[in-house]
Amino acid sequence: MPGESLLEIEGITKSFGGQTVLKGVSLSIKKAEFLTFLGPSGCGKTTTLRIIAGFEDPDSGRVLLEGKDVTDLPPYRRDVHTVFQHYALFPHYNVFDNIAFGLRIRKVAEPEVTKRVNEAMSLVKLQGFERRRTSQLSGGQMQRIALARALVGRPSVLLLDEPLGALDLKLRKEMQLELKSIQRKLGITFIYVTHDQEEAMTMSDRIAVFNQGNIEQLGEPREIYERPKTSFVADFIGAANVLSARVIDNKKGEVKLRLEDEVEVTLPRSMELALGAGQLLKVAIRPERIEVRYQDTPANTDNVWLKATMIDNVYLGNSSQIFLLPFQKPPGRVLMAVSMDAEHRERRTAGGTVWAEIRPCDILLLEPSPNGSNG
Amino acid sequence: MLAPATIWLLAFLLLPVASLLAMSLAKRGPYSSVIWTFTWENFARALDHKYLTVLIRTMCYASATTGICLVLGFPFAYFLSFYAGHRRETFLILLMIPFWTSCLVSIYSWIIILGRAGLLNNFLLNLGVISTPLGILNTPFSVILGLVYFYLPFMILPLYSSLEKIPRSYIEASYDLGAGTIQTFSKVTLPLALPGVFAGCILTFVPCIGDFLTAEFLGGPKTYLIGNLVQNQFLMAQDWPFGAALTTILLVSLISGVYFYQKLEAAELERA
Repeated sequence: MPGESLLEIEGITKSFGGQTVLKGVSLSIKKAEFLTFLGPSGCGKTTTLRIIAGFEDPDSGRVLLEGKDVTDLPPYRRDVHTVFQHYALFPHYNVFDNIAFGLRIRKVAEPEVTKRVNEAMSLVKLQGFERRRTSQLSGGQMQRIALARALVGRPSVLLLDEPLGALDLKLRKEMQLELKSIQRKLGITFIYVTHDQEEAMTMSDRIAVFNQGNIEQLGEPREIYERPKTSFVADFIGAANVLSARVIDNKKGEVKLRLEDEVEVTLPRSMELALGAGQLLKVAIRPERIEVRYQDTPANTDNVWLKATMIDNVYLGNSSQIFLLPFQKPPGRVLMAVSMDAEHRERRTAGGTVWAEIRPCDILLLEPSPNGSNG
Repeated sequence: MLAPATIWLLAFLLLPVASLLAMSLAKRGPYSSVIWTFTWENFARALDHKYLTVLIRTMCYASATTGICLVLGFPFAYFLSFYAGHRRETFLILLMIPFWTSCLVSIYSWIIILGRAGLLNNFLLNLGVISTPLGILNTPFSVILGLVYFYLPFMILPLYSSLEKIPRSYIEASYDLGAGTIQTFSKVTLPLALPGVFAGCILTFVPCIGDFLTAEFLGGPKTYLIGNLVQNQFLMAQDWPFGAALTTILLVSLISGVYFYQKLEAAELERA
């Protein structure tokens, strides 16, 4: 996408003390995009961010910013600013001087510094805090100052390393929406690192899901949730019932699978994966896409009906969490269904036989994970 | 009930200091006895210019030593904290080794090195750099060299610990905001290490003021320091009241110096 792409990462690898952290990460980030690196700790997301910032050198691969190779440039020569996880506000400067730091380094005239610092402070809604010492600020306020300090220099890319991790839940939700609105207003590219899938869903234009040094899937939040490529992605973003499935028959317009080597299902649709009979794959089913039916016989629909024993029905206030066992052979994978249907609140009886009704399109066929494991 | 800390302070701090003060106001009697009076005579005598010269000389030596220690110690502490990595412990132990040797042994080692027929002169003579031995020993140079040798670790350790305490994210934030290595050092690292600089300077300067062994063995008549003067009052001249008065003057000036410096620091912080 010439002209549109702002930052390119090409085949980045990195290891620390013999341990491979990144196994060849490539990524293209667009102008004014809010991109999130999502993944569990140790997946390589922070290392990738630090390589973009220039704090770490990749073992191989390149970082291109606006078409220029910046791989070997030190952090102070890159038009990229960072909001650090623990804010990293300078304790020997007050709020104003912290925000003005980068401008003064660049020898911006003092009246201009004052003007721009004031603008940045009103952007993060902290006017009047100029003379405060950083030690007199709350976590949320420090976060805002760190944001203002990184934004005041108008970088082309802003990197945010789990910036809301230390805040309490309510404040975090507030800040998420605010960050998103600031990003829209300024039109600056944000690269945001988090392990919180909900945070990623709330803010991102696109999400890169990291696992064991690779990007497992890159896409819009909706795409990631509704069409997860691998079992890792399905499991990490939202809850998912991941089952093993053996291909019985793969025809155009109809796929026959045997779930957990036990229950056969027929999906009246084609499979994109080129898998022949006998081959194994994984499928995922979102808990909210499983309907629990209390009737004796399945209705005559195209949907998949699984006969199951109800193990538990947990009342969660606005919803019910129902655990089903459709499989007889041990160990017997349990399916979790979530429903807001009031019916389940009244029928809180475990042990009975019920039906799980699943639409064929809600059985997500997964590719093997690029890492070999977890998939 | 007296807390153990109170007893400790009373026994080891207040009582000795109080007896020192009392002694400084007393009078010297015959045969090194002390006549308990109340007189300012000792203090008036200490202001005599021949003693003031010694005091000023001591201040100069201590300042020079502190300055040299700072200039030598800072790069070392910086290296130790930022670049030494896993070899850090080794360097710290090497730094501590002179601490564990008897200071008399160290002093005699320096005499062996610096003396007229010492290792250094022999080396230079053999090289042909000089034709007659240099008089290095018993000069201000050798005294300051000895002082620097003894008190360098006192400078390095607090510097190292304050550099070590600076979160690396502050340095990264500075680079990130466009400051190069020199600007980052002057605007972030150094200001944040200032408490260590201050502690190191106090820990070096104060014992330098009281040092008498170095000047006694490595110095000469021209390097006579206040420590030697005090020592002589107690051991040679047997004038304990005058020695006590000199010690009191030193004590008061050091404590008030440190006190005002801290006040200044606090005011500076308040202003920023």
